[in-house]
Amino acid sequence: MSIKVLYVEDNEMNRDALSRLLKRKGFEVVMALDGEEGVRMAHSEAPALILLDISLPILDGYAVARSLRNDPSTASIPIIGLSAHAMSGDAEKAIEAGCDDYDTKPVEMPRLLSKMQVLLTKSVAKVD
Amino acid sequence: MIETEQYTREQWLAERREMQEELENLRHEKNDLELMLETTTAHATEIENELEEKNTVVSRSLQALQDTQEQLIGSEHRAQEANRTKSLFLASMSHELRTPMNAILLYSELLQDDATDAGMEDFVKDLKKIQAAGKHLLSLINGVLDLSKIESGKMDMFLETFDVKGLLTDTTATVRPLIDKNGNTLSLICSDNLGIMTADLTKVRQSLFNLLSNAAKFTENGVIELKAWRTSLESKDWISFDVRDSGIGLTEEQMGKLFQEFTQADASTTRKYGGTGLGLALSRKFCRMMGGDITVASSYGQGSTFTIKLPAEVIDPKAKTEQ
Repeated sequence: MSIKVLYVEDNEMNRDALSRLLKRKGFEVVMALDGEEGVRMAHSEAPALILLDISLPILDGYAVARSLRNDPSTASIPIIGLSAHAMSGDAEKAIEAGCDDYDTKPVEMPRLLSKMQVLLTKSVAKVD
Repeated sequence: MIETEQYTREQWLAERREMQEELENLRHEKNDLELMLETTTAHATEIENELEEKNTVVSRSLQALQDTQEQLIGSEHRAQEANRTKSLFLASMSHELRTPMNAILLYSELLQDDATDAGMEDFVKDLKKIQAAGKHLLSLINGVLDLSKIESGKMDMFLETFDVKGLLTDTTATVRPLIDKNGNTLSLICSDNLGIMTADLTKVRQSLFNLLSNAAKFTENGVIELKAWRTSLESKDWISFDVRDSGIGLTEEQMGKLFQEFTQADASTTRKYGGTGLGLALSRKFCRMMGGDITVASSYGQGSTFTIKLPAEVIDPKAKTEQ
């Protein structure tokens, strides 16, 4: 059974390209187009990991992360924040909001995959 | 008696003459004084006029000075405003540039996979070039953004305490592929008392990485040595990192230009080795922000040694003024 990843991203090209790359690596990818849908799908899809863009319509990534962390049913899902903002402080803000890790766009597949691997291994260890 | 009278008369005459002379003298003196008074009065009037004139000039100058000052304040405000606009523009531009860059890099990776699966090796080669050029462009965008942040004082420091040896192990692992690429070997020499330091980890790592990747780039089948040690100077601890290579080395002239933005040792360096000419400029700015510096020692054809020297406990100047 493949690992299910929720990818919350409003930019269509990024969504298309990254989801296809992830599928090739064997992940099952479900996608949300804005922050509100992201929170909803985190509940309905129960993904093993969430890739969360920070600048999103309706609810931004920080708000999504906070909302998921405050709900016991989603609090343990690992989240990687993604942002094209390279301003220093963005990573700190994302971690503060509840993201487990952070990566800047453009994403580099090997780097992103290794970050995902670390978090997935950790959360499996927690379940065991 | 008569004699006396005669004498008295003579005396009287003499006295009179004397008095007349004195009177005459006094008249002369009076005339002289009157003349002097006249001249002095004229002179005083002259000086008064001159003073008035000068006063007018001074008050005019004062007005001009005030006008200039106002203009200067206006210019300063406009310059500050322009600088803020520039920083904002650069920050949002970099964001806007990154989003399509993300698509370009991801799709070129997707196509590489497709081409590999379909056995189209020629395509793979070209797609790799697109991806490499994209990454280069991205590093330029990042460099320009960092420089603009430093210039506008918006580059923040995030101080954390970390194990120096751990930092070195991490950084050497990251740079390993670049070292191997040119057939180089890397040796790491740490003194036993390295311990921990408090600094902006990302900036230290980026500066170290920059020195190591430069060393790897300009050395072929050689040795790159990373040495780290702690020193005490005037009750302050310092951490130093030496990156020594056996590469092409630098002339005096090249060393002078080395730390300038968008400048490499010379134009042929850019053609042969690539690069943006931003790495060292940024690294030096990072180190200086932390109260340290990067220095270089080299002789042409004999390799180079770059040294980063940082306080073991960096103090954030912004944090100090805020408190």
